[in-house]
Amino acid sequence: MSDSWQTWAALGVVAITVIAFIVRAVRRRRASKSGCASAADCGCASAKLGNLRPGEDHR
Amino acid sequence: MSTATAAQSVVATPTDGPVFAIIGNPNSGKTTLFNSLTGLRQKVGNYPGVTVEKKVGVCYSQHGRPMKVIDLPGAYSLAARSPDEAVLRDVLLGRRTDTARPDRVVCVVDASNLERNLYLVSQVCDLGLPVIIALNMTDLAEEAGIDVNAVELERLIGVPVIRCQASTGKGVLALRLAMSRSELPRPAFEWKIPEKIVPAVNEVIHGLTAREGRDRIGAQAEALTLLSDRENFPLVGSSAPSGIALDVVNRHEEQWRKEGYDWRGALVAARYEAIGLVLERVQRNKPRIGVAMSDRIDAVAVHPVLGWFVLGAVMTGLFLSIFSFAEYPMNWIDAGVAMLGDAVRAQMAPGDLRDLITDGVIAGVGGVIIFLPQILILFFFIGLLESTGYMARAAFIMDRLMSHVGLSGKAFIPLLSSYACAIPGIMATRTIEDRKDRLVTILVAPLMSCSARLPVYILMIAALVPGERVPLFTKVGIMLLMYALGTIGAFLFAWLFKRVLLRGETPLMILELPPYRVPSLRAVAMHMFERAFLFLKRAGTVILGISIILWFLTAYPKHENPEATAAAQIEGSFAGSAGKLIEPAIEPLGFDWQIGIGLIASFAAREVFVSSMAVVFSAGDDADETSSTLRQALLDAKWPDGRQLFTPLVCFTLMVFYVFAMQCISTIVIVRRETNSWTWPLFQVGYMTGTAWFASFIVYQAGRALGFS
Repeated sequence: MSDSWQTWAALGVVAITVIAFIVRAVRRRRASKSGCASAADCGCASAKLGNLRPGEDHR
Repeated sequence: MSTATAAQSVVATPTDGPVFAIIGNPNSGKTTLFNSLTGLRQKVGNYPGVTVEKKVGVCYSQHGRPMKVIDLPGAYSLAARSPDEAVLRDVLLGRRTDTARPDRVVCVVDASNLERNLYLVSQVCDLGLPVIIALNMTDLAEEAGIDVNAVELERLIGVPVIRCQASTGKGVLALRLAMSRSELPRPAFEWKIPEKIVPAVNEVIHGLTAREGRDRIGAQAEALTLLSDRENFPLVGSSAPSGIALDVVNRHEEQWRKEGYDWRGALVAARYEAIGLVLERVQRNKPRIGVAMSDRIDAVAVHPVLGWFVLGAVMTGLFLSIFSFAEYPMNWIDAGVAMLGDAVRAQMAPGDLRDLITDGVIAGVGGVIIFLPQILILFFFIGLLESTGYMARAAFIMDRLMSHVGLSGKAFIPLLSSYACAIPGIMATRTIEDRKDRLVTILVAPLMSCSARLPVYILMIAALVPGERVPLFTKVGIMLLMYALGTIGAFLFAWLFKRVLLRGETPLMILELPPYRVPSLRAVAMHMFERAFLFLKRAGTVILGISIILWFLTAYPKHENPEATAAAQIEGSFAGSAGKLIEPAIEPLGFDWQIGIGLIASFAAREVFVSSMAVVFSAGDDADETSSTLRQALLDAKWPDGRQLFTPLVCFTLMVFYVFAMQCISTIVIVRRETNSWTWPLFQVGYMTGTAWFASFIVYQAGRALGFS
């Protein structure tokens, strides 16, 4: 019984993670199309501050 | 001769709060001043050209009103030769479609180099915008024996001049008060336009005022900028200069060319003549005795031979610190992660959720955050080197080498930034004027060993040279070798690309060596903690997500036999199948399908290799045992025939693979954006992955032939 609910819970977490990755990819694609420097996950400190293209203001 | 001057008048504050642009020569302390004013946290370095991006912040007037502040790229003049200089020109001229023209300008002027800095000020004065001069680095000027009379300068140029030291925050309050003034005078700086050029300027003014309804000052500024601009550097997102003005300027320039008249030189000379008159009144040079401290240090630091030793010593010191200082905190984090895993195992009944938490989340994320101390030390040192001024010296030394491979000296700063992360490095290539040089730099920048490779190197060195008796210098030596390999690889490919793909002449670099400074520990600490935050954020988001998905891929589909061992389960899983699929391609490199899983997963980001190894090998642990360290798990890993998997040779080969492999999706996306094409990022993935395979193949096979295991 314990194994069964744990399996469903684990699969639920995996499904939520996959959805989160898809949403993130779509949002980044949209941001990229609007010219925003949204490399927020690159680890680069300056990326979050935007650049001089349309839709640049991230604050 | 005609006189170029802005009409002396005052300009009132716009009703919705003024927009200030902060401008200045590279390395004049502009970004530091911007930080002081707005409190925004960003990278602060003291080598020229660090500011490429636009940065916007808000500071408050003495009455609490918000004032928007834009930090514009550093430039020596408005005659643009690179994209970042063109950004400055276009924002100030109101040509940007996405950024409104600023209402007021704060010109940051390096008091120790007044003549050169006033050149840009004189050009900005021509624009007719209200200007405040922030006379920065007055302490350095005094040290250099230069005495600047700020009151006289204010009188001669007709704008407020505020003495300040951005690094210590001295004078920033006075600057904020000046910015808060409801009315600011327009500049009254005068210089004489050469007589031969006056008709062209007047014709442009007449055309623009009569036919486009522009004001006289703006029309004159447009004419002078067009006449100074060598190539009228175009920029995406900027409106083109007026066609009327261009026609007039082109016609006159054609005529001057025929006559052999150097109109640009004449304009520059005329400005410097006027600046010279100002300097005579405001600047006094005290006689200097002996050689300045910076010059004495530079006699060694940039010496053709000794300079290399200094650079080598600095790099050795950096890696020694990484290995020695980080050991204890790493052990604490490691023990904490292991305790957490054991606690979860003790509290939860066996099942998939428990496995997901222990083998996926804790092992995956814990395997990466253990490297936080190293990341902190790395960025502390990088910040320290930037802050003291040594980075510019390193650029100077490397320029000699880089010119041999056809790279521009300006490529050094992007390449240096790539040691931290290739993405800011690739963005920093915008300072390179020549398109081919810029492209070559973008193509080789990811070969510099970024901080994401550090966890992979450290893990492999730990597995490669296990035991406490191994001298520290051996580990440092291997690490230096990996960094050197990446750097040499970058230079070799740059040389190849410049000769085969993107031929062109090697440009000359003019690099300013700023004086050595006592580093601002606050700025260094801010930079370090900002990077630590980003590292942890990444571990808590992307790496957490990938670890969860990777756990699923190693746990499913379930083995037919519920009693099957964990190793058999992984072998039959989705991840195991993918690893087995590429195993024939990586077996000649000494890698098995389990390493293959790590190679595939780390295409998302290099450090994922560590978390994926943690997931793959911790899942192989007996569930009832306490978790072993990842290093021990790797050392225990075996081939099916019982041979050790992670032999010293395999560890070394794996490091070589990671030196060359292009495993970072974010970098690929940025290269696509910067080159505006998929061709170059795909080419980059192809050549780097191919090189990684061949280099690893040679290392592994040669190592075996020489009798290494």
